[in-house]
Amino acid sequence: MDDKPPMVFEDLSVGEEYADEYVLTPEMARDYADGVADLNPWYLEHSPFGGPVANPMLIVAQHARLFKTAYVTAGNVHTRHETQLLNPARIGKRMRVYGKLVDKYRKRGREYLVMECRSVDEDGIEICHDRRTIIIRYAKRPE
Amino acid sequence: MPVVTQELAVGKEITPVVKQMSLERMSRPLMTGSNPIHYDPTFAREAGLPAPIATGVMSSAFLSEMLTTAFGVDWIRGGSMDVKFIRPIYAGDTVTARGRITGKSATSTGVRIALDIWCETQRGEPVTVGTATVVVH
Repeated sequence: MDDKPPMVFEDLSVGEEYADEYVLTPEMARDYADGVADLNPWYLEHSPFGGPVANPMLIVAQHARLFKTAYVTAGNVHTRHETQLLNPARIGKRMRVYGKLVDKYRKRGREYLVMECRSVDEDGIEICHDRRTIIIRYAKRPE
Repeated sequence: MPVVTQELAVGKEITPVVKQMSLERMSRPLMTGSNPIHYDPTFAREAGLPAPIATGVMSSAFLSEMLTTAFGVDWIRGGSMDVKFIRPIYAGDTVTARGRITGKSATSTGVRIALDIWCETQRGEPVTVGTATVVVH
């Protein structure tokens, strides 16, 4: 039973912060590689960085977890991301993910949220920064 | 393999990436974050969609694969992209990631390459559009 509240546009406050962490496992790297059909050995065996590193978009995809740390969400749709890749994420590292709600607005019957995120590994190495925009639900609300 | 910047002329298209979409790939929890709009046909219909849609970042991954092939380590360490997801992608679609060089300038550490990047389906419609930059060292 999830005791988090549902994500409701009116209840969200710009400035809210979120945090999450996970271990970047070889199994995640393999599952993501299969999912996007990109079997580059850099992600699975070895890379020019020494050892395997994560597909950069695997790291970006995990930023979607942040809202789920605070709310029950279902049906939101990602509409934009502005991403700066800084360093490779090494497989096996614990990743820490931080996010902050920086804007919310309504446009043409939909409710938009903008979150700034960053992923940092356990050694404090900044992996990427990301500004992502989502709509809370695809179905439009009557205006 | 080092990137040969002389070959990166403005107007040139880099090598595209082509992907076949399937519900099995779109449905993986690592992709969907347990969001049923990406795997549950009933939920998708109730949301006003004809079928589940791929996560936007799947198309970003196709673009990133294309940019990794073109620019190697310089993409993964220092690349940037700004993309909008303007149309849904469905299971059964064939998605092609493309990029065209729009600018090239010297920096203190290398050559900065700017690109228009996009994904289109077999219908010829753009589904993801944006820009990318990478400094080739």
